[in-house]
Amino acid sequence: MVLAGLAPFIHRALGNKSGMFFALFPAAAFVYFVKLVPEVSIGNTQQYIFDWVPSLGISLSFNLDGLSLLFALLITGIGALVLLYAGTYMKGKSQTDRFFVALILFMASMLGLVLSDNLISLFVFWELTSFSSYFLIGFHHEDKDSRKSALQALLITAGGGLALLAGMILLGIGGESWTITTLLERGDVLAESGFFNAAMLLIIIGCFTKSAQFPFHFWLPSAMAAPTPVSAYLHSATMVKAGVYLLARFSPIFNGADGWHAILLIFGGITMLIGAIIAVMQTDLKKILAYTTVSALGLLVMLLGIGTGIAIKAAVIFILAHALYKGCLFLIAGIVDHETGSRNIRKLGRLFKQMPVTASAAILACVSMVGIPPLFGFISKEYSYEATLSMIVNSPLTTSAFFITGVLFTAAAGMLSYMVFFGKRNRLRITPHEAPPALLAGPVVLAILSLTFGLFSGLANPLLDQASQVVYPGNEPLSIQLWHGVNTELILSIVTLLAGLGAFTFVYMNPRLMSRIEVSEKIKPSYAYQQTMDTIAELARSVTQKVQNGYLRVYISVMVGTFCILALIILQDFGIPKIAVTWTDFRVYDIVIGVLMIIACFYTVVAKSRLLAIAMLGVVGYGVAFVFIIFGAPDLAMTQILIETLTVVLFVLVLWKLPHYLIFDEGFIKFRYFLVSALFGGIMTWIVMLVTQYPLDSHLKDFFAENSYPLAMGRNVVNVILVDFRSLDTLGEIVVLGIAAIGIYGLMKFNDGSEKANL
Amino acid sequence: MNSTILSMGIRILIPLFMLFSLYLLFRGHNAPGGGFVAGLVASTGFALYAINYGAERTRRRFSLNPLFLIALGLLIAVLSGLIPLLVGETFMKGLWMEEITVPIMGKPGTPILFDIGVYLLVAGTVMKIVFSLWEE
Repeated sequence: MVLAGLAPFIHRALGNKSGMFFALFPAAAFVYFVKLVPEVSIGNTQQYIFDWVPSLGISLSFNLDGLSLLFALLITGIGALVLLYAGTYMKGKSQTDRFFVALILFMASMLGLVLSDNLISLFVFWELTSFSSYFLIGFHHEDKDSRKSALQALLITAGGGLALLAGMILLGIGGESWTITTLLERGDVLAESGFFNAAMLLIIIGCFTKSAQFPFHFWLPSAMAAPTPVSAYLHSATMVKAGVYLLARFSPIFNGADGWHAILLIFGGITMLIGAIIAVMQTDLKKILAYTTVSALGLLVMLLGIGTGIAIKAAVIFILAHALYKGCLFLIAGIVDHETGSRNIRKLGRLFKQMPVTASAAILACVSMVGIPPLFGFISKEYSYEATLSMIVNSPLTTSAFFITGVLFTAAAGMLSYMVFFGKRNRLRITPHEAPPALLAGPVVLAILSLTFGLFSGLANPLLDQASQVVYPGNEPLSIQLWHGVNTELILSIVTLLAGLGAFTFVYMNPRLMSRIEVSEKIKPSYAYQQTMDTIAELARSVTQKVQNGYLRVYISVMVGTFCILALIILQDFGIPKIAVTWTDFRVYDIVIGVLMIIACFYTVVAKSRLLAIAMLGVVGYGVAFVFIIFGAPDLAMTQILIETLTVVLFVLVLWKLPHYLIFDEGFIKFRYFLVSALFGGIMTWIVMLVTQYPLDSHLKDFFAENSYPLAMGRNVVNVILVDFRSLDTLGEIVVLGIAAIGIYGLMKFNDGSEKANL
Repeated sequence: MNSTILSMGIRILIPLFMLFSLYLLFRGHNAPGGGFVAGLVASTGFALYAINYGAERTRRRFSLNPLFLIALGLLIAVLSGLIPLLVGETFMKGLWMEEITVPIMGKPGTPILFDIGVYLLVAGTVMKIVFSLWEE
């Protein structure tokens, strides 16, 4: 977090080398987490607790177990590679300093999210990721589409965030704890509390929006407007998996509930199929990747929904496999785009000769995606088949859904590798070159990891085992092997592969047919989203036009009128107190000031020119200041006098620009404003009279008077209250004041009709 | 607006306004005054100057940047709240250097820092408004 604040300065100092420098931090964190692997693998969890708002039970507590560690490693490891990559990729683009700020901020919040052990702090980190990703998606903020996609992603994920917050609060109240580890042991307490189903549903909605599940999936492909390193990092490896992470995290509580299985299975399955189908209809590299990611997320959700021990194992393995190959492919898409200027697979082709390293990495990743041994993706696929096959009910349905997805994935992998690096001659104007090492490092490392984890499957085993134990307590120990022997899963895999190749050939041979497939706009969920947004905007506009008519006098009378009604509702319980004041209580100067103020008030109302009215109002104001002085409030009086003076100065500045001074002659309008004023005056008098009925010496006054000097070293109680006892309030107020100044400035500038205010 | 008395007078008065506002600021903790009032006094001086000589000239003459003042004030106020965190206290807890006593002000501590923040912010806000209105 601190690093994010410093990023722009470091970036300016280091120029293009900064990517490498920033990459050191996640790399260091990565090494730190790797060191913890042996410890965590034997089941020891690490806990760190800092109190944050102890009075509300909110603490910054971090808990590192198998699941968190798996994600932490992905976040820091891929993060380091992406930063390194971004340093070169973003070279020569403007505002890269902002880019790094948002990226590092995102990285830190994502890390906080997976490590958090407190519901509230988890939620804060969750929102921070939505927030920072908004900046990243909208990085090309001059571009309208970019802004639109960013807003779309923010609205959907933040909307889901609200559901999540509600769900978490119910969870916290129902489970009587805000600590996740405690809650996980208290599933039964929650089940009895009656909040169980509501909390579950809300949390599922939150996770679905974040992880782009149907019907919220459409924000993810739109989010491809972001620079490619962002897509690689946020939209394949980390942020979209936050939803999956949370589902997995709460799985021990909810697993077993009927609704949980049904919802996750159905929506996960639908998302998986839709994503895969749309993916093969795309021609843009990043869009293909985006939809296959949607599909992969669907698979993960479905596996969590199956919820058996084997399914959880499959899910955990797939998280790692997918992060490795998809991160790699995104980075490669970026390289191809960077070197050739095109992402259209119909235009690209035969790039292998010019870019052998990129192509090799891409092929490895694609092979892992398809699930061919000896890559890690193969293991993942075997486990997924095993999970669907071993289901007691619905097994044929899920297995065939996964089969179809597998076929389409194979086709998509073919489109990503064969059509780009082999296939037809490309239609590019320029001759592409191999990318520089800093760009290649990321995809190559990821591709090699895919291979290594496949060949030496024991490497990842302890950690994945621990992660699956966390999601499914008491899960049988995991022992992943590359070769399972000839069984149903293997045969299914082979059939999938062959069918996939068939599907790819079909897509490849019939470019015209594919481009002719069009889905009606109206059945897409994005259409519903657009309609909703338009309706809201329209509604807001019509309401604003009615309410904000621009007449200050109407605003003020509405405000005062509302106050009067509210005050009357409260005051109706009190009687009108007797005035216990006699004439002898008044001193001469009280009367003089009072009479002066009344006369001034009268002239303000009847004045025929604005200047006179303002001057008369000033007299009233100074009169109030005198009253303050008489009753021993010099601070108030001083402020009052200065405010009056400044008001006059401000009026003088704008006087000649204001419209003609309106004098209301019509009886009705006059009467209306008179009524509002009289009502307001009457109510204020009533309140003052009520207040004086009660003894004035509250204990607060004594407290401040007694403690102001000993505790706060000040003899001026008013000031001490402002800057010490209640300084947080003052801080809030001055923030508002500053914002108001900027707002006024903005209003003035935009009135000119000029587009941009020069702040 | 051209008033010889005001335009000549304000030149002499500006330093006085500044001095008085600083005086108010630093005595605020023990006697009537404080950051808010002091900020108003300071900005009133410049506002009067601006009425005579225009916003642009005022800004150049005194190299004023109201938005910068606002930001700086806010930063100082927040920092004054953060300092106690460094020594393990809660946010915004007042800290003093007990052994030093400064005339007018009393003992220096984080509350006075906070007040300085308020002072700058208030002065900046009023100036921003006045300048914007002038340029309108």
